[in-house]
Amino acid sequence: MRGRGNTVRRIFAAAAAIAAVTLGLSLALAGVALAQTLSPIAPLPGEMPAQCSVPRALYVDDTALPKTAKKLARGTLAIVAIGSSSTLGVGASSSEAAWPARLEAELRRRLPQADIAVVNRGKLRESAAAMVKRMAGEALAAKPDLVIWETGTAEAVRNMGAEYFAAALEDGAERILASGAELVLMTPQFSRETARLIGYQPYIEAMGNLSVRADVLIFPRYDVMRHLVETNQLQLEGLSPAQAAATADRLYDCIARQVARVLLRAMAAAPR
Amino acid sequence: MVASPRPAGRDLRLDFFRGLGLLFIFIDHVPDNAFSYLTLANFVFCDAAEIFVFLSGYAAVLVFGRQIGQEGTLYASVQVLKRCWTLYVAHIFLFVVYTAQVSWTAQRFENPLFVEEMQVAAFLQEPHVAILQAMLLAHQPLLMNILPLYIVLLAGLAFAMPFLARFGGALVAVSVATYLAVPLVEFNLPSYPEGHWFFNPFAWQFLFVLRAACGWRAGVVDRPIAVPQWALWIAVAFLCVVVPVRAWISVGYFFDGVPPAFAELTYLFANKTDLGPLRLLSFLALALVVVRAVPRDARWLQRGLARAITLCGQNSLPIFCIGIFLSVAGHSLLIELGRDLATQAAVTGSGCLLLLGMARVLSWSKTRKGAGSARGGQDE
Repeated sequence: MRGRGNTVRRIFAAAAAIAAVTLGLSLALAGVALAQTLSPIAPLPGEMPAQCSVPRALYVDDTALPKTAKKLARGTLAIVAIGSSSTLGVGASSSEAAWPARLEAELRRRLPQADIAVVNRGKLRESAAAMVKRMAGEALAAKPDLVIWETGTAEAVRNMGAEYFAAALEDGAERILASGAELVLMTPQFSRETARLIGYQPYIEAMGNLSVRADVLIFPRYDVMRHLVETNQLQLEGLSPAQAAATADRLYDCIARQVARVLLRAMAAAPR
Repeated sequence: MVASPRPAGRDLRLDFFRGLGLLFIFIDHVPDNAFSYLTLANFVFCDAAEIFVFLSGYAAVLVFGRQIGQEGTLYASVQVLKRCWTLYVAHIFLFVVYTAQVSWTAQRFENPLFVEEMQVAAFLQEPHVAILQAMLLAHQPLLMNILPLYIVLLAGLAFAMPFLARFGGALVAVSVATYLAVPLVEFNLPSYPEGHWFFNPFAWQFLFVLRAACGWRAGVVDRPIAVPQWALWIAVAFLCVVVPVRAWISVGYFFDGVPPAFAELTYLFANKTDLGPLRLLSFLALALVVVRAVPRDARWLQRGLARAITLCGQNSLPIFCIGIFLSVAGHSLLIELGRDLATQAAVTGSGCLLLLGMARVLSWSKTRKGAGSARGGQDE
């Protein structure tokens, strides 16, 4: 019995040592991570090529946009972008640099023969439920062909509950689709700093659940931005105010180009 | 655990599955972790939260219920409230850690692009309200929502305890009525800055009370409720349907293969906040089958990995808190180091190892100090 007790004790000691080593290692790694946050490598101005390369594999939703495609074939396209501050264009040098305005420019560039308008209905700090309330008056009254709905940030930030969010999302989607418009959902923004503090996962999942529907397309902005950050195409930390504004302009332009890419693909996928 | 009349009385299955639940809670709370596809939530419509609440209801009654017999109801109720206090302090500690993290970022990360996101630090602008709300359990940021539920349920138990012995049936009836009323009347406790409790205590109390009442009969007064054979077969049949469906939904995310109407319906009935009926039934079926499949004195529970997991269950509060902490740390590491499968495996693996190691150390320290004491080494 004594011998067995000693073995057990030795196992305990080994386990404790393993635990201590692992704890030490993880603290060291956390330290490295912290050091990286503390001393961000500021990008050198002029060293920035047009960085907006996103692999096709990020866009898994193959929902088509037949109505929008039909409308475009007839020469016009009316899009409404409804969302929060990142739709409004907060942080950019001008309202012309917000992604809806850039999207309009990009679509016009790629489809010069069509008459295309993108209206910006972004508003600061609004939950999906609040956006649903103003949706009829501000977004659907103009009878758009396509609504791009950027949402989820306010709920995730306040941790308001994914199920309440999903209900509002569902409600809004029904209204948009009932108006005859087609729907694209846009997920929240990504940065390393905010991803650490905010539990985005359930909210993005709720949007994903809705986009499983055959008539709802999702634009995974969270994944797109994370890809840009991870491949060092986008630097968000340790920026001077001027650098931050330039970064915002560049990011919004990139988002617009990626949205245009997804829209054109979805329209091309529509049966004629 | 109190020195019980039956020395071999502790049901190790309880500790094992609670330990397993705690590991799942850690793994599931690391976002973008492929290993979270291996946890319970992807195979049935319930997850580690149900395990935790259900088994804790049982464990609490086993420990405190026996104290009623030995020391009286008042004594047992006071013991429960003392336990509540420990949990409350742990919750406040997690809040302090979270506040440190948020205020650190708020001071260093100034990018106008994220002005809306940094509203997460808005509570720092009104500390007089935010701290009070945290103390009232209404401020439940990030992963801090299951401890408030458990605190409230346990506090409720302290007051229900005197009735458990004589009016157990009535207690369960009230509990069922409250659970059924929740989706009809839609009531929940408010949370700060807005919204509701993530785990609606009025719904989740059902699981806790149900297990407490069964636990009372099985473990305290030794009149266990016999589960008829047909109930077991229904549970098996139910799981045979549910498991493939749930796994299909998990995989369907990747392939867009789930019929929309069906998916919507399932999510409606698998509501986590109000403990949707599909979640409840899934869990009860699973519990019935597992209790039958794993005998109380299963040898494998006492050795190897199972033994290590059992120790996690026996130190549930510290392991839970360390798990929450490790989830946040693990997520940070994935954000910094990349999300490739090897890093995910390293983060998940070292996190689990750390939890198992900590449980070992905690158990060891308790056996040392309490060799002859009444609290012979396990928490409730």
